[in-house]
Amino acid sequence: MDRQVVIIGSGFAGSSTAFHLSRLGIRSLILERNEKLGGYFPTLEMQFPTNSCGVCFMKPDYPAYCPYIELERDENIETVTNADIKQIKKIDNGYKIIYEANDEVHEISSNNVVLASGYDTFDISHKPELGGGIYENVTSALDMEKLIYQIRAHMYDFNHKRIAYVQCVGSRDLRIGKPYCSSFCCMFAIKQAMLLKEIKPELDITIFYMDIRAFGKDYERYYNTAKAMGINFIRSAVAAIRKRPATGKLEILYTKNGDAVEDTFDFAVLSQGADFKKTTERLLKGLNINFDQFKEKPFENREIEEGLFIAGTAFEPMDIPDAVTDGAYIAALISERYDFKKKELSIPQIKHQKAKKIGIATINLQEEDYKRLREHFPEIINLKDLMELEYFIKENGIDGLCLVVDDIRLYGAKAEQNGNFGIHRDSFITIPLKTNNLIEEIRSAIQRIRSVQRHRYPVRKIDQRVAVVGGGLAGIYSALRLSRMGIDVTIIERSENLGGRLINLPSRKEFISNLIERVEKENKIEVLKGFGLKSFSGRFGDFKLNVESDREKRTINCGAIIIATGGEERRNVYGFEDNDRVFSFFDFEKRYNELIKAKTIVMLQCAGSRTEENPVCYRVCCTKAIENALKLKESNPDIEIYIIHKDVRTFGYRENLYRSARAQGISFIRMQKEPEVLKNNGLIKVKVIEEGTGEEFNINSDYMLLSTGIDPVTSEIKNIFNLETLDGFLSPYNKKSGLMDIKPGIYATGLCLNPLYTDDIIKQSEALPVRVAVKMLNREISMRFNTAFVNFKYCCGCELCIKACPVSARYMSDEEKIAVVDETLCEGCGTCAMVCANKASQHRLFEHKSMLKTIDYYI
Amino acid sequence: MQEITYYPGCTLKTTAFEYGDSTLTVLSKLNIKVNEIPDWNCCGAASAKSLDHRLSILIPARNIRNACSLKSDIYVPCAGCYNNLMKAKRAIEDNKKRLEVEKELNCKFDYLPEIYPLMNLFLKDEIRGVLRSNKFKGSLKVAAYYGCAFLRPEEVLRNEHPELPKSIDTILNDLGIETVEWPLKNFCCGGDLSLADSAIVSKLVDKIISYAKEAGSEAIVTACPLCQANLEMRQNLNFPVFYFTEIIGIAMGVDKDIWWKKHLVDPSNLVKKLKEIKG
Repeated sequence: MDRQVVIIGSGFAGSSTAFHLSRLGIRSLILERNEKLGGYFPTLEMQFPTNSCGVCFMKPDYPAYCPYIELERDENIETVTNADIKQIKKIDNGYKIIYEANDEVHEISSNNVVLASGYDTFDISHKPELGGGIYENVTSALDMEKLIYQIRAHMYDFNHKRIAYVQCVGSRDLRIGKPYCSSFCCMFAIKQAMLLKEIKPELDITIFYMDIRAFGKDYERYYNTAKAMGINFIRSAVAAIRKRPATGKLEILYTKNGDAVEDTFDFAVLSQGADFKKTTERLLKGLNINFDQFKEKPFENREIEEGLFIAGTAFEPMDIPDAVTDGAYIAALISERYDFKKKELSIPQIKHQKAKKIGIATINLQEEDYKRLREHFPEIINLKDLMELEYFIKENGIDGLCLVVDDIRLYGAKAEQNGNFGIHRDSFITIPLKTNNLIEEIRSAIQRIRSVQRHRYPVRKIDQRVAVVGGGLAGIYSALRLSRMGIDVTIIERSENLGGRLINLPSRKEFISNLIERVEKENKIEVLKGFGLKSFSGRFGDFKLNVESDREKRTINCGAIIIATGGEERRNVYGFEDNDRVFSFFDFEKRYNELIKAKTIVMLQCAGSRTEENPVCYRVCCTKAIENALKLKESNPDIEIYIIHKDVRTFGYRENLYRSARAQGISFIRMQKEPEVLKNNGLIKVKVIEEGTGEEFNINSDYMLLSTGIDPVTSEIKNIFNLETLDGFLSPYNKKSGLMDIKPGIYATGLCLNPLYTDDIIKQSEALPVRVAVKMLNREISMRFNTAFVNFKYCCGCELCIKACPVSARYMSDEEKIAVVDETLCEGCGTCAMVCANKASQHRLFEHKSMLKTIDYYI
Repeated sequence: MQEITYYPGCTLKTTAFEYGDSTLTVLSKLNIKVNEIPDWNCCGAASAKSLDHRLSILIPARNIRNACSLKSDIYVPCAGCYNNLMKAKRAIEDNKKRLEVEKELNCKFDYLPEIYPLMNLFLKDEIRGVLRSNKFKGSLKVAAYYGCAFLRPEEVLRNEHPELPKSIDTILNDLGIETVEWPLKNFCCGGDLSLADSAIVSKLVDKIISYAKEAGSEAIVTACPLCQANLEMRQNLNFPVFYFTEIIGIAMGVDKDIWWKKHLVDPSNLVKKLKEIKG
């Protein structure tokens, strides 16, 4: 076999798989069809729900550069762009991939193939009734993304006033053969509307939608913010967009309260959905795998055939955080076939002395620039490339270098990648050519190199044990995956049983008890049942957890912590649950035999959620309620079922359930405001007003099921670890791509982090161990250098620095009465160095001594 | 000499006499032999389908049965007739429904002729060549209007793109007439509501006419008799509406005054202009 893994596509899922595999030491080859790496990433201007980027947090270790630069730099990843894949053939123990790149046909064999080929965007010219491909002022959402960039950069004069967004163009549409929901377009449109509104507040933006599917973590808040910004939301499918010949304006036809309405807009954006990728279809057909079933529902197994995986949006439309998690999940599945070696501990090099021989060099400078510099520094040398630089350093025995380049990002990164050619980091200074006072800068840099006391790189060993807090589904899956990677695990479970919430569900009992059996057989997993977490101390690499049960107290030493405290059913949140006729949908299984005998059943969605006080969408309730309703209808077709909702959020292929529910005669009523409920002689009277038509419905129902959602269990853990939460869910370091990283060494998965389906919990909890293992297998953490340090001789323990630190990176040492620095948290701001009266706290790169000398020289 | 099977339908013999007469005149000038379906009957129009689904299939199916003996493609000038005949044809194509139709009509469908709207005949290469050699020499802008029945339901007709129809535009362009881009090509004219609720039809027709005017056209050209009637009857802008066969007739020099007399909006100014710019 030529390669261990071949990944087709370098989008979010593909590159996430590659990064996670690379850190585990598994080499992969990425074949990318386009000229640039990153799939749709280069075409996106900002991302929801942060309105910033943050994809660099996709990398399991500290991000340095944009992941698409890192892909090319990574020693375990090979990338080929402009690769046109012709065929995948099955061979013994793997696959042979035939692709064309640079006008040559290549063949490569591999044990594992990951199809992360993404999706095609729906071609809006298939929707001429909406003006797609006909009018110049009707564009697709992806093209709008480019336009927003141009508007922001004042490259495009956008003088339109009224803008319409039309959702579900090319999805949720049987006429064009797209039954599914594309999942991300609602949020995508909201994001664009918000960006536009920020750039040009005078714009009048309207979003026409069927259901706003803001189902992710914090998405509901994002949606509310958009509404508060004055973006209009109108629930109606758009029938037609016509351009009035006289004015050039667009007339948009839609329905309002059951009547056809026409409104005039200047510009329209069609939120095009995801289309099946033609390449994927062709490749799978070549392997005799039936792709047609895929148009109805996703593949049941991620490993379609042995060694052939499907990842990301090629599997199902999903947004970026889900795709990144998905990529890591695939990496976890592949990792099962390989053994990992733990890294040897390195012996840190100690070079305390100052630099002896200092060189000044430039790379590829223009002749006149070089001449100008040589007037001041006769010894400066202009080199052709980094190879020459390396030769220059070795030849002259240089151990301190001042490098002047025009592209600091390129050369700086490359030099760092090459270990600064053996020069200590403190004595290697790169200066961009376009600096003000360039000559003075170089002078002071040389002075700094001459005077700086070189430090040892701070390195800390990592304790080779992971503590998992919570023994539910998420905890069990994380622990099993970690143990399979050869890492010791301790599960701390508060109750006397593993299995969490699922153990009470009869339909899941067998599944969960099989899992528990596997955990108990695994000798790398230690299970502490009945133990509660009391306190914690330490930092990434050497945490100490104090746990306590009725019988004993224990201390667990561990290198990293996974929080998987899960969720609990939200009950009694709606005011009139009597648990006789009105009860939560969690009791559905328990009360099933009663329910099928009923004549009429009302299901109330978003009971006590998506309100002002609790702006959370619990993601699972819509689908769960529809599944329940379908189950009831199947056993008793005569039951009348009403589902009262705010939006039906059956994203992805779950849309099929929604459609079949309607076909079965289940009524969906979108409430204008909370319904009035009266109990009357054992019947429940529900009065609700339909938003679209304004019609009033009076339903006499036997039972009322409340979809109340699942609350995260974080109130205790939050205080112990001093974590931040939003709506009860743990807040990650970065919402977009580093979803599961909470703090250095502390991770979270499952319901305590975000609302998820059971399948998604498994996916997330399988993906997370890869991120954790990447750090554990390194066995040591090298700190960032840009941090504070303490000269303990001068520290009096006044704690001024601890109060001043904005990121809580300063704390009092356990053993001595001095204040120390947690380098994993320190951002290198220098505030503590400023407040320290004794000059005990100093910044590594700006020590007082060398700084004073540098300043002296500068003036 | 080419032969076609022709289904005129009732309208072309009565209210849309000018459409029927211009069609036959132009076809004879083009040397095409027209065989009317023997003993044809009404297509069922709007009445059959709103009263009895079974009859709405059987009535047009009888016409198809009678046409089988002629063994050539059927061309239908009227949009409503075309729509009804196609629905019957799709029923006959369905194995289960065919047995029912065969039983009722006492026949056997071994052969099924193709059914096309009349426009398709003029899209054939040899006829396009003739049209191109009869080009108008001068500028005139018109708006091609298709209505609904030639285009929808898409899955039954499977002929033209229901949102981007081109046939009438192509024919007119071949004749050297510029057609405007406008958004109401396939907009509904109100159809049968002309009798039941004329206010709705007036509203729709007003919109169609004013958009056509705004787009810079001097006339509307259509192929549907009901659309033509509605557009002329329910407007008050004096905007002429032609059948495309009439324009071809002028181009080939075979037009008759009797056609123009049938129009509700006097087209004589435009007819004069067309004759002036005729090649």
